[in-house]
Amino acid sequence: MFNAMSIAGSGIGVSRKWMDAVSDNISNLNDASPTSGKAFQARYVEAQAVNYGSDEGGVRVSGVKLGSAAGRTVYEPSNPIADKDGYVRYPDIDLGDQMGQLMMAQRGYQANLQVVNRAQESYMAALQLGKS
Amino acid sequence: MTSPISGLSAVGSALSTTGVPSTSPLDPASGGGGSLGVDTGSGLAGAAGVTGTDGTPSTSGADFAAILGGGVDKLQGLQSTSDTMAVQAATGSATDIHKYMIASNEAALATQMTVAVRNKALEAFTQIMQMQA
Repeated sequence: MFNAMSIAGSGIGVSRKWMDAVSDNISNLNDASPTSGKAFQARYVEAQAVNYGSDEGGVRVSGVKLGSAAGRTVYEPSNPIADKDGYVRYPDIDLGDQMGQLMMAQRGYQANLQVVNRAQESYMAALQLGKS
Repeated sequence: MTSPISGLSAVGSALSTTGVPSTSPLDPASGGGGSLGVDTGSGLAGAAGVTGTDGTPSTSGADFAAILGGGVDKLQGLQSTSDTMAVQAATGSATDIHKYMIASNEAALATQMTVAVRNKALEAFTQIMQMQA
């Protein structure tokens, strides 16, 4: 009955998961790993339309992809986990890129919230039809 | 809304066929009263059909009960979803706050819609019952 609100609700959910992924990436930005293992892999949320082309609208998270495991190798001989050449693995995450994605996720969240509010106002205005 | 007007026109045609324009609407046992009952039903069904939950307009009196019952069931479903989510939000196990807010808003809207349908139906019924000879 109130399809616009639930479709925007699915958009809010995906934006929230996007913000979770960006927050995870930013908080693990400086994770050092030994060169023998894998670096912290950035998390990317895959969004897909729900039942594309049918009457049912909305978006859902179809999966989570991980970034590169190689990361960047940095010369840090003073680090306790550095290998014999003095190299340590850091994740290959760009802070500026993540902040840009955070802003996009926040604006997406706000846009879907606006849709919910406007749809609710429209439905309530329809309920006033015929009132003297 | 066209249904109360069609109801009035049907009553008018019933009056013209009986040929007694002044006394038949007041007597529920007469033929005018019987057709009055059917027209009230179609008027109420028309009022419900305009704001029906599945959007299909209905003009027969038998479908009004089904539409109203379906509307109340859906309202009950929305209210119970909203209550479950309220409990989850209070105990801290809810994962999405927006889901609860949207569910509670949908329940409030459905409640208002049910009340509006009932008010319109009551208004149509009262108008017809208030018709003088």
